Amino acid sequence: MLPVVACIDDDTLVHMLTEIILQDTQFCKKFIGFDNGKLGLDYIHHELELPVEQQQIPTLIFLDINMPVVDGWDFLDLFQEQFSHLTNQVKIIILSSSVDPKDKEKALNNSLVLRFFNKPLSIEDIELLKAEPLFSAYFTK
Amino acid sequence: MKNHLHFFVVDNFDQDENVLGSILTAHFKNPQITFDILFSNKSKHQYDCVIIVLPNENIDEVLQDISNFKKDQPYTPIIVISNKQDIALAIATLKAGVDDFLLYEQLHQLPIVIEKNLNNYQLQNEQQVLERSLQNIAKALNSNNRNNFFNFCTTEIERTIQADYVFISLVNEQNPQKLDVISLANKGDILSNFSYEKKGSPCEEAIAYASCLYTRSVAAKFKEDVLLAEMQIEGYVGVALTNSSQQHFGVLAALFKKPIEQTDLILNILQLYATFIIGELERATAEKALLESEHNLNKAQELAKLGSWEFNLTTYDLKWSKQLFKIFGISEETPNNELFEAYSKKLHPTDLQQIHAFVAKKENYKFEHIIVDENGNEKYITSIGLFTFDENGNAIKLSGKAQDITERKKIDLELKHSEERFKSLVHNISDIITLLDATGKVLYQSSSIKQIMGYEENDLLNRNIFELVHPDDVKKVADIFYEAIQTEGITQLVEFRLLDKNNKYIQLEAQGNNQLHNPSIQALIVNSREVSHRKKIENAIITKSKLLESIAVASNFMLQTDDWNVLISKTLETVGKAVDADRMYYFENSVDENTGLETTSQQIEWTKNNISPQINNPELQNIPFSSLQDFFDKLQQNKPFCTLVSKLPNTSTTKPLLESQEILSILVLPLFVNKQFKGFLGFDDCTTERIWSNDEISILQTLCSNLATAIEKRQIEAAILASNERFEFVTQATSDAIWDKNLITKKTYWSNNYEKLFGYILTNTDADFYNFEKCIHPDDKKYVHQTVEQFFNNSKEQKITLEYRFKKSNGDYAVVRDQAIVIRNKKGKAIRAIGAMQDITQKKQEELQLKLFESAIKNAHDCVLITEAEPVIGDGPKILYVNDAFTTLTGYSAEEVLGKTPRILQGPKTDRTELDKLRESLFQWRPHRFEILNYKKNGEEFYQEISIFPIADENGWFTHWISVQKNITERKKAEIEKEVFFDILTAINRNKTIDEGLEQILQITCEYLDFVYAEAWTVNIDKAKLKYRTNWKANETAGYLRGATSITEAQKGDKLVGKTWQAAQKIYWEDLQNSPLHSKEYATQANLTSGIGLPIMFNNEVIAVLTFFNHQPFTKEQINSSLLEKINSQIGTDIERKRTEDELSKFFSLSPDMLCIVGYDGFFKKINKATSTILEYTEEELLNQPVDHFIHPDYLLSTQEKRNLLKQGVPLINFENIYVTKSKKNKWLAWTSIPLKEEGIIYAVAKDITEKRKMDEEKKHLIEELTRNNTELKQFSYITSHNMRAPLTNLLSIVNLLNTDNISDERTLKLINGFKTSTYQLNETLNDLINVLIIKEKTNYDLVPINLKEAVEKVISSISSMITKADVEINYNFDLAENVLFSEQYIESIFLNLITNSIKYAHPDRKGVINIHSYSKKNHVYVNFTDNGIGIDMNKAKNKIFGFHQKFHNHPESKGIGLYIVHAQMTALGGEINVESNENEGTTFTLTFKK
Repeated sequence: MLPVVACIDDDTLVHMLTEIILQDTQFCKKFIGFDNGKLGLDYIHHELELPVEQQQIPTLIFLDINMPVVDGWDFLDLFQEQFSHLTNQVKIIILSSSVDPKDKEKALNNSLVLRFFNKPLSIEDIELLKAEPLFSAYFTK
Repeated sequence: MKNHLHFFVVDNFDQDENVLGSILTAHFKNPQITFDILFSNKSKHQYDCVIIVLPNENIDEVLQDISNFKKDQPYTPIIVISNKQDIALAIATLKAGVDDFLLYEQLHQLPIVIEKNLNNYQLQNEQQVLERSLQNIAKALNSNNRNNFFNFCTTEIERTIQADYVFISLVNEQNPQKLDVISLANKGDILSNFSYEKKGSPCEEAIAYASCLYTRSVAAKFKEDVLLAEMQIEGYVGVALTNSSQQHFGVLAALFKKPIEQTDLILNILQLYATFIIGELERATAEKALLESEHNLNKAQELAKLGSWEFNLTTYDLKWSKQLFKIFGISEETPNNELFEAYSKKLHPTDLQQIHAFVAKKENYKFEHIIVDENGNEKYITSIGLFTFDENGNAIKLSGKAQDITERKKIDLELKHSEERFKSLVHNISDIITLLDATGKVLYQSSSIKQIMGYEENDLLNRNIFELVHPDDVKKVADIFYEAIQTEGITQLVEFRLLDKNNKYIQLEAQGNNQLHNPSIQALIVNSREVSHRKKIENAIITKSKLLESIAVASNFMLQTDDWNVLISKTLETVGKAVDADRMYYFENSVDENTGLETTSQQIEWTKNNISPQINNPELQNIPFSSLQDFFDKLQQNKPFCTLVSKLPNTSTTKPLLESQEILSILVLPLFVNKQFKGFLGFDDCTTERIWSNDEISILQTLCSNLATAIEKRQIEAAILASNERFEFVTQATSDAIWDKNLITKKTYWSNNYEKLFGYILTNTDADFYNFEKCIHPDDKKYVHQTVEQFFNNSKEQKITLEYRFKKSNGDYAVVRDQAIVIRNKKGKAIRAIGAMQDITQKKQEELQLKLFESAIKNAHDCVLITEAEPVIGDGPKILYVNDAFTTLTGYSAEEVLGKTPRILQGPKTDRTELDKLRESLFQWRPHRFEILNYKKNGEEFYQEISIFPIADENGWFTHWISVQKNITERKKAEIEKEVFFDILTAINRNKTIDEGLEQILQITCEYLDFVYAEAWTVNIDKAKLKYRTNWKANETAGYLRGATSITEAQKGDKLVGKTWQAAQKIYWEDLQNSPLHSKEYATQANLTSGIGLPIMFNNEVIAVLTFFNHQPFTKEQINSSLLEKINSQIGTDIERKRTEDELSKFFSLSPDMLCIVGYDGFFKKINKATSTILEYTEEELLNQPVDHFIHPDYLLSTQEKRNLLKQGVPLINFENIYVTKSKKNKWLAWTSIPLKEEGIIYAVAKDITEKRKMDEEKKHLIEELTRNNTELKQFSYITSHNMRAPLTNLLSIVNLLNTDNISDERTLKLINGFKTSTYQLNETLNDLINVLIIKEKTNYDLVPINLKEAVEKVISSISSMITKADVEINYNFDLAENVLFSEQYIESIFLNLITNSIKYAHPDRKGVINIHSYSKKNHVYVNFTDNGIGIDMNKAKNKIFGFHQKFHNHPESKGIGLYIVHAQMTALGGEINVESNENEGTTFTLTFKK
């Protein structure tokens, strides 16, 4: 299981549903939800100030695009800007209800973004992630 | 050296320009340098020096050019520069005529070399010019036309030195302050006969200082000479015309409008000519004087009846003066050798004997004898004979005089007779009888004394008579008295003067009779008579005859002596004695050279004994004229000054001078030579107051004129001497052998050329003349002698030309032309002949050849006309020759035109400008060719093409013009007709309307063919009738049909026009008024007699008819004129076109669109009415402003760009811009334009699209709004769908996570399942909508090649479970077209849709089979997709198959969106999809892709 996974979405129902699916699929030990990108960034800043052994930085972030305050695109830019040393450590999945192919294209062009999932997040999606070489080590049977 | 040199530099290397240029510029002042790399083309120009840089190649060509150039301009130096030190090359160039050869490294020496060569040539050149001038002068002097000698000089000088004016002016004889121009040459013209003021002119300076030269600005220097400024003269060269005795005749001067160069040459030439002009002037004066003097001498001899003769004792040549013939009454025609015989016959044999005796003794003689003239009258003759001896004492000449003294003898006889008569009278009537005693006391006095002496009878009684006798006579009377009283009888007759009662002496004649011894008387009886009257007459006669005699004697001196002083002295003595004057003297005038003061001085004087001589009186030397005004006033008017000194008024300045010499009376006679007052003869009386009778004065005047003659003779001899010198000079200058033969002495002079021409050495001239006779070819001798004899005997002939063969010293015969002039004496006898012999052997041969040419010319078909070379001005040169063709053509015979000028052919229509051009060519001696209209003798006009060219003699002087004249009348007529026809053609096109064009055609034709009236008709478009268009009439009075008729239409066959139409050819009606088809009354009314109908044809059809009319029948020329033929056949096209144009112009004018022609200059050239209507400007306003002026500023730039493109040939289509109308409204115009590059214009059509534009504008607004709405809607649907999706995804997630296993409540379970189903449906519907949106939205796809097989297989594999489940067989084959260009995503979507569709609608009764294959055709790839499903009812579906949400099946899974998406995807990428289907059989979709 992944140690920490976060979800940044202004829809708290999405937090809940995502957490249920992650629990059901035993994907992560800890799930954190943020209402917008700023809160997500603040959290990471906060965690980085802690001693390394206490840090709980998410390995994977489910990120929505349309959000108030700091939207998905801003978050990607700010993250790249503020936490460039973390780009290998933190991967991001765009989880959006947008069907605009441009959004998907744009997202996949960003090196931080690992995948683009259309909402709703499905169990098949999680199974795909588990099969990712990056994460497969966390899911030894 | 000239100031401005012009170099021609041929630089074959091209890079030396600067080097050469700088060398030349550094050395020479303002050189003009022409550079070229080619030589031959420039050789015509006159350069001062040519410099050639030799090329490395083509040397031979350059050398050829050089030698050609040298032939043309031998006096222009050529200097060659070479970079090769090659002696052979240097020699070759020098041989070709190069003047100097320089190596490139010697370039710095170039200026020196140039100067050296220029100087050489200048010298050579000047010598040549001088030599040639000399030759010309010699020629002119040899010619007989001396009158033009001065004009010849001025013209020649002008030509030679290229002056603007050259003139000779002479000091006016009356007013020495004026100069008379006797010849002025200006550009070949001669002007003369005008005068100008000497003072203040450069000529004054020239005369004063012998010559005068101003190279520039002379007009500014001599401000008083306004002529200089007027003529804009810059330079002046003048040479004084002064003879050897320093007499100033005038000046020879040249004027230049440009500053003078080559001053030395010009001065030399002027001086050369001046020498000859002076000679000519002197000769003219001398000749005139000679004539006058001979005349005077003759006159004097005539008056004195004195003849002279001269007898050459060696040749026995007897020469008589004119008067001598008269005296002896012998005809002047008497030949010389018969003279003496005729004379002898006139003499009494005794007298003749006496003469022979004198001659035999060689003794001078003088004797008086009587001859009897032809009328039987006796003549008293005094003959004088004087011998002239040579140095050996041999008599060589006997000269003499004979004077007819009959008159004098008669006077003497008359005197004798009258004396006798008088005496008898006295005896009978009026004797005074006085008785004297032996002491002289008066004893008696007859009363008759009172009549004579005034005394009373007794007054003298007892007085001694001697008291009354004049003291001078007392002795004489006393002697006779005493003699008388001592002898008896009658005493001698005595004359004495006796004092009368009034104390005046009366001349008496008395005779005594001694009767002292007679006791009855005792007294001396004295008979006295008054004799004064008789005495006076007697005295006068004696004086006159003495005078005449003395003058004859004096005249004789004049012939005998050349010594002036002796002549005058002897004359004074003889005449002085004869007139019994106290003094006689000769004064000569002179003019002070410095002051111009005229004075006179006594030269020679004779005085009577006891009279004081005045010869040494200083007061009589250098008397200024002004000091003795009354005296000289008379003399200068050639009147005698004759007065008693006592009678002179006290104011007279002369009086004191005369009184100081004790002069009582004076007679002074002026001497005039050549009308000039030269001096005077004077007579003084100091003892008595003499009154000169008119007779005496007139006789003495004769003496004066004889003296004047002698003076003149003296001058003339000097002049002749000078002229002989010049003659010598001339003989040397000419190539002719000049001879001068005295026909009396037979002496002949030969010029040196005789030796040169014929090879004889001259020794003894007489012998040579004999030799000359021998040299004449024997066959020609007779001809020569006869001709010469005839010529000498014909006293009228002055000139003779002989041609004969003459033997040269080498034995050859030369053909010579011997031209001689003869000098004749008064009787016309030839006494001297001067001639020039020319060797014309070669000329003769040439003449022969010429004769051949002449006969060729004579018989030539073209006219040949030869004229003199000059004058070019005025009427032009005289015609010397015309050939037969000339006579044939012009009708003038040769006799009629010879001596006239070609002007005779000219007439009113002759083109003056052509003549002016001709004259210009004549001036420049240039051949000329021109065409001109001339007139025959009968006045007929004809055209000539004339070529003229000048003919030069061997010296290059132009002597004649030859003119060859071709009759080109026919050609010219054809040309004119062509022009007329051209005018007709252009008339159609020139005029705006066809009617105007037709009217002009009528006018041109009528004027050319002399018709008085014409009409034009055209065939209507429907070809049904003729329509009258226009007419033309020669003048208002000419009758014309339109005045009589108002018919405007004609049918076929109707009248002349209709008939012409019908006949489709020219018709001529000679008698209109009687032509049945013509309206007789109209023709009669219009007074028209004949008419021609002329159809105008186009495409073999008559399109118009012209009719022409005349008052009289037409001539053949008119009827058959080829002009009419041309009109008939050739102008149809133009008329038709014009008609079409007229129609087109209606289109043009009526079009609602703007039609314009715009020039490349940016101006409208032509616009139609619509243009001005639309733009609201008048046509004029539009044409007069640039087009840009009317264009809206915002569109100016784009319009100009388009226009520039247009000018490059790019047509403009539907270009829209805005024009601003006059009322400032904007007009949208759509332009379509085509440029016509060769004409520089643009044809443009513009539609007013303002309205359409407005609508477009509105439409655009609408569309924009719609688009905006559409976008908003799209956005709306997008947002809607997106916003719906977010909660929907949550719903889906929830539905997925819902576990219904735990729900036991049946109802809840059902609701939840229903919730699930609805959620899934909502999700699918929304996804479909979104898909459609995406496809519609997306417009730019990257098309990539897609392998169809891979795409289909991918789709099949993705739905393999579904396929398996439905048990559908899918066959595919893409071998025919493997790839398409498309979007991978879409193609998969399309196949997916189609496959799933087929599966969905598979026929329930059979196994589903899907066949997919592709093929390629042209530019497309087709994919056929066929199934065997339930199919579609195409009738129902129609075009709705691919519509949105169209369902054709009641199938549960049909949403009606799949095909819509497929269609949308295909069309979005430029593809197509079509469907064919039969219900229950299957469906075939055809996908069409672009390749």
